[in-house]
Amino acid sequence: MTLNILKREADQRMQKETANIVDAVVQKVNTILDAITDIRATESRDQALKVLVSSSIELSRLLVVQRAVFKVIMPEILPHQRIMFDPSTMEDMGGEDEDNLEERELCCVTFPGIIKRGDESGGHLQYRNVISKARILCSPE
Amino acid sequence: MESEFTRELDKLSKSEAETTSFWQAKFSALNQTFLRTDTELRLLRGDLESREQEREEFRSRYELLAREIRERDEEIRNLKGQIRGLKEWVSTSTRSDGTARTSDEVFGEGMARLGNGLLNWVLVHFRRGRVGECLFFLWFIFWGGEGVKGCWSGWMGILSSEVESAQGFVWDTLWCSLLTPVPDLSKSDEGILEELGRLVPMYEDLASTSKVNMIQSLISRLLVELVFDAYFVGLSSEQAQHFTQVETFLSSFGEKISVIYMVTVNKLT
Repeated sequence: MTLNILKREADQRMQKETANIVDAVVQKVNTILDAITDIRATESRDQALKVLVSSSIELSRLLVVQRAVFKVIMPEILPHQRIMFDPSTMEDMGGEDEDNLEERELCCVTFPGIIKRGDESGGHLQYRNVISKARILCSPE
Repeated sequence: MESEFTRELDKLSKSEAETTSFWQAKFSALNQTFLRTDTELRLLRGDLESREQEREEFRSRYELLAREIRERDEEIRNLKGQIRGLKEWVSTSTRSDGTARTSDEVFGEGMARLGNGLLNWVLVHFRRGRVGECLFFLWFIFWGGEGVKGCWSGWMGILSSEVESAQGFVWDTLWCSLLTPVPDLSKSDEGILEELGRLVPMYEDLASTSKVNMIQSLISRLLVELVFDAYFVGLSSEQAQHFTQVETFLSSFGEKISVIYMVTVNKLT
C-alpha cells in the first residue's frame, strides 16, 4: 500500500531524484564507452538511452508494488568460475539449438531475467515462476 | 280439317305456355340462386375486408411490441454494462492497494521490449565502432619472403600448376588473419577499466570476440544495480534505507510486508 502511494506520487514528486538516476546511468555508460571505444557520445544517442532507462525505471516501480516478490536476476560471470547454462532461467542468444547447450559454460549475460515468488496476493512464497528468461551467450564448445 | 288445325294450334299453344312457364320458373330459381350467392359474396367480401383490417391492426401491434422488445433488450444491455462497470469499480476501489493487478505477461513483454530496445541501441550506435586501440600483427613481414612461398607449395604437396592459385588462397587467408584488429584496452584509464572489470568481469575476452554483447552486458548490469536493485527509484538513499529497515522489521514477523498491510486493512474495514 505504502509503495502504491509512492508509485502514484512518483511522477510528480520524485522527478528530480528520478532524473538524477537517469542522468547517472547515462553518464556512467558514456564515461566507460567513451574511454574504451572510438565513438563519442551524441545528443541523440543519449536521448535514446534515457528513454530506455526511463522505461526500466517504470518497469522496476511496477515490479516493486506487486504483492508477489519479483526479483530481477543477472548471473555474474567471473574469471576461472564455471557457470553453466540453465534452460529454465536462461535463453541463449547465440542461435544454437537448446539441446546442444546442456553442460555448456556461460560466456556472457547480455540482459537480465525476472523470477517471481509467491502468488498475486503475496502468499505461497514457495511458488517460483520464471517470468522472463535472462539472455545469455554460451562459450563456444 | 279446320277443327284439326285448331286442335293442333291449341296443343301447340299449350305446349308453348308450358315451356314458357317452365323456363320462367327455371329463370326465377336461377335468379334467386344468383341473388343469394351474390349476397353471400358481398358478405364474404365484407368479412374479408374486416379480417384484413384486423390483420393490419395485429401487424401494427406486433411491430409496436417488437420495437418495444428491442428497446427493452437495449436497455438490458446498457444496464448489464453499467452493472459490470459498477462491479469493476467496487472491486477496484475496495482493493487495499487501489490498483488493478498487473499480469505476468505485462512484465514479460515489458522486459522483452526493454531487452530488444537495448540491443537495438547498441547495434545502431556501436556496430561500426572499435573497442580499444587496435594492434595489427606484423607477422606478414616474416612470412613475406619468396622462399616461404616455395615452402608453402612443397609443404602442402600440391602440383606446380596449382601452386599459383594455392598461393593466392594461402596469402589471402594469411592477410585476413594477420590484419584482424586485436583490441588493446591497456591504454584506457585505469579507474575506468577497474569499473568496467567490476561490471563485466570478462570484458577482456568479450572485447575481442563480441563487443556488442559486452556493451549490452555493461548497460544491463548498470540497470540492474542502479534501477532494478534500488528499493524504489526516486527515493533518496536515506529514505530508501528507512523503508528497507521498516520492511525488514515487518518481514521478521514471517510474512511479506504487503500481506501484513492487507491483514491490517482487512481488520480495519
